[in-house]
Amino acid sequence: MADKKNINPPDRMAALFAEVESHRGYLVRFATAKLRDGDQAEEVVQEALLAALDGVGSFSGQSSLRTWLTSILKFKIIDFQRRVIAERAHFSQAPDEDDSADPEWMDRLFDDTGHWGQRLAEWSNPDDALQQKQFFEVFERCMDKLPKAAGRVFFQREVMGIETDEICKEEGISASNCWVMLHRARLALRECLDRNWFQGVKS
Amino acid sequence: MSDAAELSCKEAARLMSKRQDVALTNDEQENLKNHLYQCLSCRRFEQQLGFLRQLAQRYSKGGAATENEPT
Ligand SMILES: [Zn+2]
Repeated sequence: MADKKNINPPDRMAALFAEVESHRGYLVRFATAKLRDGDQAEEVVQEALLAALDGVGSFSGQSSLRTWLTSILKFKIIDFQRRVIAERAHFSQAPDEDDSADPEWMDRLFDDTGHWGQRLAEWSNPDDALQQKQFFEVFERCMDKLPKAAGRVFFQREVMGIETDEICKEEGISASNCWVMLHRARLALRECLDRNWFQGVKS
Repeated sequence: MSDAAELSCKEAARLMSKRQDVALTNDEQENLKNHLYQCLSCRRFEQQLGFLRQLAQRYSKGGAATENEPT
């Protein structure tokens, strides 16, 4: 007769939800430290918490709830980083424009004698820009605007740090072609950052 | 007599970009050096190229270094 009644399942779940939720702040700080981006961190933590609640049955209680949540979060962060890299690597494979759309583009940067059409301005406080999230957003938008092949090659070379030889082989193009593409990408990015960031920074 | 070729900015820029991926020949280096000596815009381009590389590397590590949101 003294059968101790379990707390009914919905209540138990609600309590667990609340407890899981109470670790959110810590998890966001953890993810932010790792990803260096508050918004991305929130997003990943959200994914991790949903996964945790989904799999709460597998929580053995042997480790603390926080440790368990953190281990899920770590997987989610790795996942997330892979996804971002993959998206970046393929963003430029959009089917439309390519380099041949505007072959004269590069020539217009220089005048008939091969000198810069416009004198290059000095970039002030570039180190400061590297501390700002908005600057990286501008950089992303600038990469998005590159011709698809140039964007892909630039990303592999400069962001992924892959050697030129390897990229050329993968792309099936000659080394000199590879350099031309990289050069175009760098020129275009320089222009884009100049226009969309540095010309507005005066100090 | 070795006539050091006068580079245009366009050629100098191409060499600076190429230098990020492979070593230049001695002639290329020499011509580039001469051009940079007398051309402010190209010196700026050189700096900005270096910065671009730094930026891409930082980006690959997740972007802005600040952990706290600037307000
Ligand atoms: Zn020049």
